[in-house]
Amino acid sequence: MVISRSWHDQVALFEPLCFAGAGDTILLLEDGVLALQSPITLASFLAKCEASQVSVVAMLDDCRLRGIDNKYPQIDLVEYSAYVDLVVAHDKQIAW
Amino acid sequence: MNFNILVTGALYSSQSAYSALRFCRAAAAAGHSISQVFFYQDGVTQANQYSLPLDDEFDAVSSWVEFSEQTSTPLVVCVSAGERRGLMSEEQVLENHLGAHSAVGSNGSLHSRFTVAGLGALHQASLESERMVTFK
Repeated sequence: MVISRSWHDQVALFEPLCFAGAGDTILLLEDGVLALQSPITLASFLAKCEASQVSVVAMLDDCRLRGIDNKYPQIDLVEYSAYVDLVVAHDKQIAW
Repeated sequence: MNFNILVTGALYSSQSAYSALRFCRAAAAAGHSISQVFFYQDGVTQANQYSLPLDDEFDAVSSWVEFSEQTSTPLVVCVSAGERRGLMSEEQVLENHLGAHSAVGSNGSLHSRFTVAGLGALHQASLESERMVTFK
């Protein structure tokens, strides 16, 4: 799943979790990476992801463009080549 | 692997052009093929040949054209979404009886590298490709 909207739209961040299951990956893309600037919201989000065995990654370029540092070891920063690999590895992609 | 790309974000008010292009280039570099890039809803604005960004700005339309020429990837614009937003080919200008004094001019606003098709083209490509990737 790809979340490309800001966490300020709470639905954009948490609603995809209703459809995610074990083995799925959530990619924070574009304004989706702004979630990394909200410790309380992100802690809740990561806890739900961990409980559902959903992994979370964030686009490195979009973090750099917004001056965001990743302080979360649970979140890997990826480049576009890894995004392509994720699409190959998962049957479907859902954009939120 | 074969990808079908769907782009629905508007030029400038979304990052979809930049993200989709980066993804397409990475996919091509990894040896994957892209059956088509389909522009739908506000995404059709990325096919406007009259978009003239400043020299130091990202030029989405030219970048799509360059990518298409390098990889022979078809760029397809939804005909209905385009007409609603004034994105038309020269043929559509004639069919709709719009003249040289209309907003799109006699040549149409659609860049010649892009083609128009209905949603059936998106559906067909979805059936024939192994993955569909959406950029909003």
